[in-house]
Amino acid sequence: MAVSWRDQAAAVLRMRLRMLANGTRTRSGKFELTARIFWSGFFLLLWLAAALGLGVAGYTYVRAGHFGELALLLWPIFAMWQFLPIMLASYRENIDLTHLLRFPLSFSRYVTLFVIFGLVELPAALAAIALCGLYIGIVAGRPALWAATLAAFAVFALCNLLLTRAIFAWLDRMLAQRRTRELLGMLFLFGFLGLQWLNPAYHGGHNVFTTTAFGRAVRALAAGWHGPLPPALAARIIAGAAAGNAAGMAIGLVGLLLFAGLAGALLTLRLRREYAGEALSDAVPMSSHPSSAASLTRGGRGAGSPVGAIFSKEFLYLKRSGAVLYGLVAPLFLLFLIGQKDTPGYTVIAQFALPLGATYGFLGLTRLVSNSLGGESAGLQFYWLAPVRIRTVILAKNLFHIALFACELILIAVVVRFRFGAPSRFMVVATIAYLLFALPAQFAMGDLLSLRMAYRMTLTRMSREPGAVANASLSLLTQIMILAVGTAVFFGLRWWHRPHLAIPVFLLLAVVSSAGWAWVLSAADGIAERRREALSATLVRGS
Amino acid sequence: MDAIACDCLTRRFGEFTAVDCVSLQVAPGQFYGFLGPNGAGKSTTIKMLTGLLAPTSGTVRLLGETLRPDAYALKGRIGVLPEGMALFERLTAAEYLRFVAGMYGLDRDVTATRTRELLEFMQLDTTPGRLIADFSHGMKKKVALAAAVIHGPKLLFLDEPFEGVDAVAAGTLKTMLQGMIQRGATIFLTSHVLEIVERLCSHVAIIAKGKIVAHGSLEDLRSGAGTHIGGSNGDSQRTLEDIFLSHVGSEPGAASAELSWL
Repeated sequence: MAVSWRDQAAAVLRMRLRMLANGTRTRSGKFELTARIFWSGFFLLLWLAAALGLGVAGYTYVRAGHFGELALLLWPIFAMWQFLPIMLASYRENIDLTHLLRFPLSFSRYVTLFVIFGLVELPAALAAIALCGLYIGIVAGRPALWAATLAAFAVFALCNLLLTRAIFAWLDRMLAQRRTRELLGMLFLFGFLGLQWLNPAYHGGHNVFTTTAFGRAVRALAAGWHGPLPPALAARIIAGAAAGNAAGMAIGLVGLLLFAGLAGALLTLRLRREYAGEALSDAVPMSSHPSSAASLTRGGRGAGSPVGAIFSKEFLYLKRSGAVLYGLVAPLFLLFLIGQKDTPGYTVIAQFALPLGATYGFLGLTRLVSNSLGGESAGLQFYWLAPVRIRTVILAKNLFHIALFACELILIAVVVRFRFGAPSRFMVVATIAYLLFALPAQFAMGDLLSLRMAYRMTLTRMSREPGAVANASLSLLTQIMILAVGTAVFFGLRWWHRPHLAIPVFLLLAVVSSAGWAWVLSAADGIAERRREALSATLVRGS
Repeated sequence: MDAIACDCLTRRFGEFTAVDCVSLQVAPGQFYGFLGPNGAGKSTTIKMLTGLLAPTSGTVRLLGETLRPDAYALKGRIGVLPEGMALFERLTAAEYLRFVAGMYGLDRDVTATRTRELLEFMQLDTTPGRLIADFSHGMKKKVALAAAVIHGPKLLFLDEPFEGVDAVAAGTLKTMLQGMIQRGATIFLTSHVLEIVERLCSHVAIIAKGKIVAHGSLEDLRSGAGTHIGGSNGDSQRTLEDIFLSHVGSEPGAASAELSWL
């Protein structure tokens, strides 16, 4: 029986769209839905603003006749289109299109469907918005370029689509392995941090890193290496059209088509092998050598007590949780970066660097504190089976997070000392007093959120799970409120010319917040018992 | 004193009654099999018996003590392999067992010894650095079973312990469980594999649509002397499969509902 191409394509497209639609469903109530709508709108606006920015920049460059600079605007789109799918793949389950091979599907149809799948992905949609913005800007700057720009962008998009699908096809099998996914996710996250260095390195200034060999190398690379790559080739088509240089246009067009052809060939090669039944192995290699008794008891002979056991387990989880480690490192890194003397508001930042750094540093712990049971998955059941109070479990986790924050605080203090100079003794004591108020308040709210608004969390990736947005929004609101109280107390008393009173006021507030934290801990068993089935349904089911 | 005694245990989810007034008595030292078709209420019952799920009504007594959420001493005397296995998958098997031992308050030397012995017994000692997340389903099951027994429980609940476990490993597990019974422990297990239950268990209960339809010793059920509720007694040589099907087998008329287009 012949199966029509239209039916097959429609079936696959329907399946993909249903998956997208089902991905927006929430079982976590109206607050979660509202929060998700709010944040989706917020990020959409941000991206539209970025597209608008690209349009304005494109308009400016075109009006000024700087057509070569258009490549700089195409680079972020190119990088996003190539790297975002890999990052997304690192933190969510991938759709294995080889499952389609059990259907009566010809090779050409399989390749076409594989490419089409790439069109119904977030990076393609984001790139389309960005390219539209840039297109409008260029055409507004010089309307005669509408056709050349359209052609350049169309081939650029085709090239990107084929390239990203080729990369994805080759990485697909490797991404099926947990370790590879996590490694790629971490590389991407730390790549983001690395990008923060490009700006100071490129623009010079007094930053010590711009005088290093690394800084000089980055500048040299940025200046001339990208000529034969797709963004520069696309820009060359537009520049050629603007200058009436047919040879320039042809070079750009042929170059892009060559790229697209190469990517298509690579993609076809991989898919041909898949179609023939070959797949890169995703089997986890097994060791054939039995371990010694010593290796089995390596890393401690047992924790001895429930608090010790949980402390030890949390430490092991942290060691293996790339996204959490990233969250802890990123604030330190950014604090280091904003410590340049030419940063706007440097004087104010320098004065309040310690409390600001401490507050900022806590952000990396937010997910852990406000959803402390979220990473347990099926392990959550064990807490109800073990002869241990949930209060003990929560307290042990709180203590671990406090220890973690203490380490972070020491590192922040070191960075502050070397980037902004030693803070005054008053600022140190006031910061400690503030933290004595802020931390118990954070933990009280965090424990309540952990028990009442838990969501499944993958500690190895920056994923957005159902229920996460509502929890994160309330957690953020709590932090803003705590910071607002601290700011009001400090600046209110400073305005009243009695800043030294901030310390006793913070200590008084610390008594209140500690009492609140103690109350939440004492109520934890009762709340957990009442919420047992809801927590199990949210965290255990499907794990 | 019964090892397990539950009285009219009921659990409703909205309008749906998953378990309807189940009463069971399991004597110490019994290897008790709990059977039923999919959706009959086996896992719901075992969850209520182990404290993972609160009953809508009814009581549970384990080892002579009423099961309550704060019955921590009692929880220290029972072991559970739950449906979801309750694993922390970002740990290695050895790390997980040490964690579990810590939660049960075992001292460090006992923890180290038992961890090593369990991993060797379960043949999980070949890949010490591998995370549980990377284990096969059968290996995960063995880790979960090792965790359920590391503290030497007097009463062991196992929800489908042999599901996904290969024949060799299943043989190892059976040996371990029979050893526990010989040393006086009580084991309550659910399984879909009737052959395993028939070989291991001394007593059996069959649940269907949330109600116990038969229970008693295997011999009594075979001979028709066991407690049958709405079922029919049969020949003295009936297998467990015969008994099972006679109570929960095909609905009248189901055989005629064929898919004629196949």
